Amino acid sequence: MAIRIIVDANPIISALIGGISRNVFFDKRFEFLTTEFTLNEVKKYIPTISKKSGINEEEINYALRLLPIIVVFREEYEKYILEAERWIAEIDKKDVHILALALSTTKISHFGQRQLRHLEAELSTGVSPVA
Amino acid sequence: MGFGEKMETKIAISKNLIPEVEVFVDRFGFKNETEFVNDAIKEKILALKRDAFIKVTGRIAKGLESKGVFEKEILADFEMHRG
Repeated sequence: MAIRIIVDANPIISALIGGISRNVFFDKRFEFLTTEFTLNEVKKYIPTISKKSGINEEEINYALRLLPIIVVFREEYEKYILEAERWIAEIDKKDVHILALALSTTKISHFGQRQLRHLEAELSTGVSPVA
Repeated sequence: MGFGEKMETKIAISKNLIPEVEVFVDRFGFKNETEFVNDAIKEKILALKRDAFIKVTGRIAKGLESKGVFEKEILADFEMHRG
């Protein structure tokens, strides 16, 4: 069974511009999930990548569509958003959706402070493995 | 039909492949031929996607490199944009 990994926007951006993370996404040992919110953040940045690279937006959008990432809609993790905000909004508000998705996927809400610190460290690297 | 639901489609497999499929179904613990074929197709699609992705993102990387822009700068700029 594939290991589920929740990805923030940074590894997706990195993959799109040819960074090291691009190979990991195609490793069948893993299953990648992200939120619609995160995907929209990436989409908003595509015009900038296009401008900086000289590659047209359509092509970059095509690359984004090729990534085997499951996009989870807000309704799926909505009830964990408040909890995620309590944990992380003061540290980094933009990670609330990713944390809410992680909470909905792992029942990590039952974890203690030590696990939270570990999770924060994972979020800061942009990649968070889940059970 | 919802995502992931099975739709039956008949696909002809070359005669010479069938004995090989049977061997691998047995040896590698697939439930049956269908599971084997589904798995093989999934892997093929992933490989094709990977090849296409590497090509396109290779062009993006080259474009950035030619303008002296590096991954670190892009990621820092993206963080700034996110606010």
